[in-house]
Amino acid sequence: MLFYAIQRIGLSILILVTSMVMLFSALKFIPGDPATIMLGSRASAEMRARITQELGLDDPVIVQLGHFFGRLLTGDLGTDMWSQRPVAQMVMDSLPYTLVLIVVGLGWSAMIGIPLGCYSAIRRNSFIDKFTGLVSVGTISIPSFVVAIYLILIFAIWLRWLPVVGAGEPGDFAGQARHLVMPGFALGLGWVGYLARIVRASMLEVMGENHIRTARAYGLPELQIVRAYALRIAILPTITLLAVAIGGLLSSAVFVEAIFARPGIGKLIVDAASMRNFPVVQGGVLTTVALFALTMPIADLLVAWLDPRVRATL
Amino acid sequence: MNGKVLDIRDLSLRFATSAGPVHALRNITMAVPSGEIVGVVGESGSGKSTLALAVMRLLPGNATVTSGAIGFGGGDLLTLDEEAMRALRGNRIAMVFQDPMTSLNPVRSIGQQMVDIQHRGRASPAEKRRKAAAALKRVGMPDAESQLDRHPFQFSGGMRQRIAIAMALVQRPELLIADEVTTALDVTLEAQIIHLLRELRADIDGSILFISHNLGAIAEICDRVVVLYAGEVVEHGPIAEIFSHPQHPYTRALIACDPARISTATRELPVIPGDVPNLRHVADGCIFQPRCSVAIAKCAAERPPDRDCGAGHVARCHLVPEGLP
Ligand SMILES: Nc1ncnc2c1ncn2[C@@H]1O[C@H](COP(=O)(O)OP(=O)(O)OP(=O)(O)O)[C@@H](O)[C@H]1O
Ligand SMILES: [Mg+2]
Repeated sequence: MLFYAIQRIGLSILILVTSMVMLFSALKFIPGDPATIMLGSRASAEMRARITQELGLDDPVIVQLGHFFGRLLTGDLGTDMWSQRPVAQMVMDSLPYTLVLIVVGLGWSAMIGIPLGCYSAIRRNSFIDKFTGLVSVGTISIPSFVVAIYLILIFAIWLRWLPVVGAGEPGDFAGQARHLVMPGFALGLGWVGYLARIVRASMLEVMGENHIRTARAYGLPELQIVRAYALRIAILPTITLLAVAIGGLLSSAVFVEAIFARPGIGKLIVDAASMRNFPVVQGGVLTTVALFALTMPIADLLVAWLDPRVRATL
Repeated sequence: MNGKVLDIRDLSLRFATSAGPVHALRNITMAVPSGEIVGVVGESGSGKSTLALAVMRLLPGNATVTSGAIGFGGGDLLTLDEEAMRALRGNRIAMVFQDPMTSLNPVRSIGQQMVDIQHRGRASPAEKRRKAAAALKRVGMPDAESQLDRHPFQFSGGMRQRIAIAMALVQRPELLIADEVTTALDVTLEAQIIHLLRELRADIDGSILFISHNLGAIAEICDRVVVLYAGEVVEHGPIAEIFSHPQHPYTRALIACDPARISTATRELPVIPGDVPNLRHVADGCIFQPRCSVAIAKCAAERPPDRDCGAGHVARCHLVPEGLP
């Protein structure tokens, strides 16, 4: 088990290092003088010289890469070119907004999608099953930013029930919760259908297995069979999927945060990119990748912990 | 009491398939007298498991019972509602399934599963666990107490078979259905399991429906035997009668083909010529007629009646003379 954990975490570190190198080289491969790209063509010569010097753009590439890694290791993500604030600080300030958004988005979609899929599998061809099938296809194919725009139209502009912009005042939990409703819904909607479909397929397979018949042959209550005998197994592929979902949600969060003007990491990256504020973009993207790289081994370990067959092979 | 634990009369059922209905069981009449072990023998595909599942009312969704009754405990199982049937399962009727590798839940420990099946009992969880360990010990599981926390995949096939049998016996059922419990095992294990079942019968004072395609196993353990061919009972009777005076040509062929009886001098494996009939279109006449070496003209035209050969021995064949005994 320990070896497995080390292996999974090692893989994550590899993913992280690779993405760092790619991020770093992406900036290098942009044709033209980086300082000019960042500052625009109308910037003065001194300005360009200062940036070039500050970012070490004159050094050989390999030295730059070395510096880059060296700084990352000490937790230094660089400095915002405009405000001179440390990027690490900016990322840390915006990260909680994104995390809570993802937890809410994924949480509500799991809380609805998993039971829905489960029920559809048990009551196959029932009204709910057919309804779920229809809704799944619908919600999977609608991008979250479209959902977001319609939500704003209906609930904020027409009905005036919910606030549109921002994340609420710090300390005002009720307000923050109200600000989470629409972004969370928009973010999670696609995954309701996705999870329902995966869980349904997985449940159908497990419910047809011989051991379920054995459980029935002992007259176990159907609810116990579904929960303790079938769902325990059917949920395993879903856990891995949820980890992948977090990756997908991180990228959807960029749009959702931009639309709702939530000060999360997605908005931070988008805003910085539009101002060619590369250190901030770099820091934001790296943090996002790190988050994703962390969720995969956690999911794998969770599966290993829940499935005695996997646990035993470790 | 009429002395019969299980009394199946005229049971017919079919499976719906994309290629049309499969008439898997046709007019099955058989019984398990209380306290006896009744064997069901037949080739692969003859409907042995289907018969067992029909009694448990656990048939797959595409099955429809078209006629008959399954008498148990004074009532007809086929008319019970699902709740009443559920109350019987695992309690008064228990079944050990054919494939021990897949019939236990892979993510729950043996102990959890054996405690789960005592869901009707009011005993404390610790008491139920003790009962589970005792059942495991009973089937010859070494170090039973500590095995409870292990999972099925950590046991060999033979051990899983023992666990499955132990589970079935926890509640001391009146009727135990054992579907091919020795087929997956090697010869020594098979002997052990047979010995075990015999002991257990005395132990729990119940009856056993012992399904097998192995005549040797049947001969060793059963009081009576039912010969199933392509979904029909072609012959049934007391074990000694069937083995010493088989009446149906199929039973004779089956006994002749038993590997245990093959002459070592010629080393020739006798086989029954021809194929098992297609159960989609069941022809008129005797079901065994196309493969029968002694068939007469009547056999193809007319369905043979069940002829009583005396002493509870019945054969479904035109060649058995009327009023034989
Ligand atoms: N769900 C099903 N749908 C269609 N046909 C089925 C189904 N289950 C069983 N059958 C058919 O019913 C017949 C009897 O099958 P059954 O499994 O009862 O045989 P068996 O005697 O137990 O064989 P074995 O010795 O291989 O276990 C076979 O022809 C089989 O193909
Ligand atoms: Mg079978």
